[in-house]
Amino acid sequence: MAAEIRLENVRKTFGKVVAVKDLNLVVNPGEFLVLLGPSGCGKTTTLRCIAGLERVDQGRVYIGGRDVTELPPAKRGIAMVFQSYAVFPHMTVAQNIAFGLRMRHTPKEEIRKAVREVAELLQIDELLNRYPSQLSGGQRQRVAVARALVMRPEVLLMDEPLSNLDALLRLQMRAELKKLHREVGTTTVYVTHDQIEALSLGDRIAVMREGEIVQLDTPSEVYDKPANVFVGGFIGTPPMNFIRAEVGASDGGVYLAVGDFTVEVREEWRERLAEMVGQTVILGIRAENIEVRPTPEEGTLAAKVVVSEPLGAQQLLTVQVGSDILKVATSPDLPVRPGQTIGLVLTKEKIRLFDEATGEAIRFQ
Amino acid sequence: MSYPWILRRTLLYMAVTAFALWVLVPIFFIGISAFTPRNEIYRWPKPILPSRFSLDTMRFFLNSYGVLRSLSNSVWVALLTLAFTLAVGAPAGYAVARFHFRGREGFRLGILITRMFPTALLAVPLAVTFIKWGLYDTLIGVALIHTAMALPFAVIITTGIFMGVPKDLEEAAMTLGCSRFGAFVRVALPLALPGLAAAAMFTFVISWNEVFAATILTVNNRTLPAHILTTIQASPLYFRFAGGFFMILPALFFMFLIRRYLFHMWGGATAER
Amino acid sequence: MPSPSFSLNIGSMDKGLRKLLGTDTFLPYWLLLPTLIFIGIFFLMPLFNAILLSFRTDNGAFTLDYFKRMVKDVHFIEALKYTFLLALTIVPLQVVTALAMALLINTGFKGSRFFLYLFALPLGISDLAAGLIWLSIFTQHGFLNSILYSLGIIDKPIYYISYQNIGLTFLAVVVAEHWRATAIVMVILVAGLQMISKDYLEAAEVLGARGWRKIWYVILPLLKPSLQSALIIRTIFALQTFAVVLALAGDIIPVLSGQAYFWHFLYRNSHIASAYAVFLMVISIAMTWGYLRFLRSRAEVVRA
Repeated sequence: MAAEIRLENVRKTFGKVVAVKDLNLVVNPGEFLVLLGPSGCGKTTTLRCIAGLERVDQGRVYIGGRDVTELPPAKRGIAMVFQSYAVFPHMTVAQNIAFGLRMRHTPKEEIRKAVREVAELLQIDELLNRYPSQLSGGQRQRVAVARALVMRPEVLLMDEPLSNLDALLRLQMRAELKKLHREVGTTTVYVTHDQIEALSLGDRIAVMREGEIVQLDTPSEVYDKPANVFVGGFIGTPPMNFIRAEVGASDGGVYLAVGDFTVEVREEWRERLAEMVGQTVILGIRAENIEVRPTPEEGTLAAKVVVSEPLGAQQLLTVQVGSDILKVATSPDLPVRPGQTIGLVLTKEKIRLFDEATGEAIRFQ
Repeated sequence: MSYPWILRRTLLYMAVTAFALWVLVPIFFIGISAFTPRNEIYRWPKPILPSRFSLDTMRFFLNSYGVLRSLSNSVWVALLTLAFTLAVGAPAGYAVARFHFRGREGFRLGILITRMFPTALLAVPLAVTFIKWGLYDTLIGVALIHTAMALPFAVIITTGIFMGVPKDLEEAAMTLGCSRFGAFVRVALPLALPGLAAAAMFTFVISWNEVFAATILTVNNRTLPAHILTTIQASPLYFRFAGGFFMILPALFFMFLIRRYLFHMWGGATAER
Repeated sequence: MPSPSFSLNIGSMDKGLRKLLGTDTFLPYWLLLPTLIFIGIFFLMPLFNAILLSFRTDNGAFTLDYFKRMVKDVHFIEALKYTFLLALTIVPLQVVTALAMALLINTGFKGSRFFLYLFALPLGISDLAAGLIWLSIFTQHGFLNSILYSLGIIDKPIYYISYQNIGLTFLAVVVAEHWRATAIVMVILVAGLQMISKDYLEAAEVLGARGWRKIWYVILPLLKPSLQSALIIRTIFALQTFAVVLALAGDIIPVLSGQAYFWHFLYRNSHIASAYAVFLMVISIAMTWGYLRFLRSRAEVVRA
């Protein structure tokens, strides 16, 4: 049932605003792809172009190899879960779930069976005769998912389905959606602005900005190797730290200078960096990849603690290095006070370098 | 439950009761008048309650020449008006509620401006035009001008009603196999129906109450208000009172039915700006 | 992320006839078409014809004669005077009454919905019926005289409605019209009050504004858009007051709409009737413009 989705040079404008800018994207059959980005980045518009709720200005949309660019939503073999759930208030849960099948003129007996099955799958079989106004937000959400799944669509589209749930329920539904996808195996495109959702659900994540995909990769790649400063800053809590550094060379080889402090670099980078001596680059490192020493020792980067926030499993320090502010995750047991000067050790394997002018990651072969 | 609190509550209820009496007492008086025997209307001093309850005055009114006919005319005109108004105005309301098209704001402004046209400005020239078109002194002619008068309200009201039906629902229906029209019929329409019914009743009341244009555009086919207005100087008081009471009956009934929608109609329409 | 859907896009205009009939781009215009046609026939054409009728003789020559005759008409000055007097008396009275009603309703006391409905009742009552209702009260042997007599306040009926007592007759019309049309203003104001965020009111209370001060400094400025709408709507309709006057006062008090009616209906002169209609339109536009100019500038200051 799972089909491939292919977008070729898709462009969509609203008046003068270009919402989707010549987008190319292939979603593999059975894949769970997350479109991630800040609000207004074009992710929902992209989803709606796949659904056929927006007519593209140019470019083609293929689902399962079929050109569906000119087809209405009803004929695309898709099903969609809306942010607001869009559960029909004038129909019972059973009627809601059966709606799509009835439109297809599926025999009554078959509809009843399919509704029951999918309701059991989503644990809403007790609610079939209720009206949406008698359901909680989480239950409505399940109805919306059931209504989409019962269609056995080639492609399942979800537009921020969890954003209206409270935190605890969201966590629970997130796990369930993942399990459902494993069981059903439908090609899924999932829109969210929540990077944790994206990291936990996606087989791959497409990070979008201003109508373009800036990085399309597996969650771990996106997290560990952001393609540019934007992705690094958007993904992860706290976001990646960025420090200005200068590429320097001595008889020992190439190094990065942060103020008076020198950071060692990986063996594999040396050759490429040697060509860049004297240039300024942006050094990116995540909070958990910085080790803390209670006092600034030899070979550590001296930093002043500004704020310390205990977050349960870890302690988040906000520290100042020169004029840069860094976030550092450390053990909650480490005793530090604001105003104290500490020493930082950057895990060199985890350092990313970005071009100062473009913000793009510097590629090392 | 302090002393000032009780005092304030008491004052508040006294104030709203006073306003309520101010609204209700005149309606009570006309009701009394309509059921007072004819000869008692002129009694002096008139008791607040008549000596006996009597259908005599109402019977006289309904049996007076031209009343039943104008009554039936009024009903037909009002029904035609509500059919025309919804048929013409509801699609426009839907368009304004659902689509972001070029000229949308201009259209809404234009609709608001049409509300400022004095009835006389429409009725007098249309009387001349309708004579040419053969619509003068016809029920359709009156219904058409009533439609023109009710149309701005209908567009504004239906816009509010369709805005109250989330677009998502129709889109969901479309992803589930409906065409756009199918999604409208199966999802938007059932959900908008109570509101549309209220709009229809409101339109009915507008037409039922309208007197200026109806008088100008008819000679023989008078509506009830037009009939009462044109015969008013020659009619006895009890005829006028019975007429007044009869005219407010359906209006009060419909207003009661659609009370929940009053804000859609007046409040929402103006507060949106 | 609400994206403006179904938006107009010029780029796809030339992609064939199929799109012309059924797509997002043109569908809204098809839906508007009936209303636009209707407005064309029943608003623009009458407007155009009224201007023609009032400025052109039956032979098609341009003339100011009809306007001259309108102005020289014995009732014109009186009609103009009473129309304006009515509007100037009724509208402020209505706004004050409606505001009092709306503020009371807005306290949300137990039963406020019920009283709201009661207060809104006259919304469904026509001007003609309102005139007849108050006629039963103000007529010579009506309820008012009977009650005053029973209470021993008067010993013979007062003639509220007569040529001898134009002042009282005018007051009777004001009372009837005030009674009938205050409901519209109230509903608009209640709706406006409900849109005011509770945060503002709570902030005002925290800052120590209570009672009248809260109403004056916080609620009224925030209510300005609704007040403006109510004022414009009511003024325009007050300028057209007609049936209530005719039912209650006959021809004792002439008004502009009534003159248009008489010229058309009794004297069979649609030219002069049209001149009155055009004159009314001009006054309405001028008043609206005046309100917008006068009130808008202040409303903006308050909002900024």
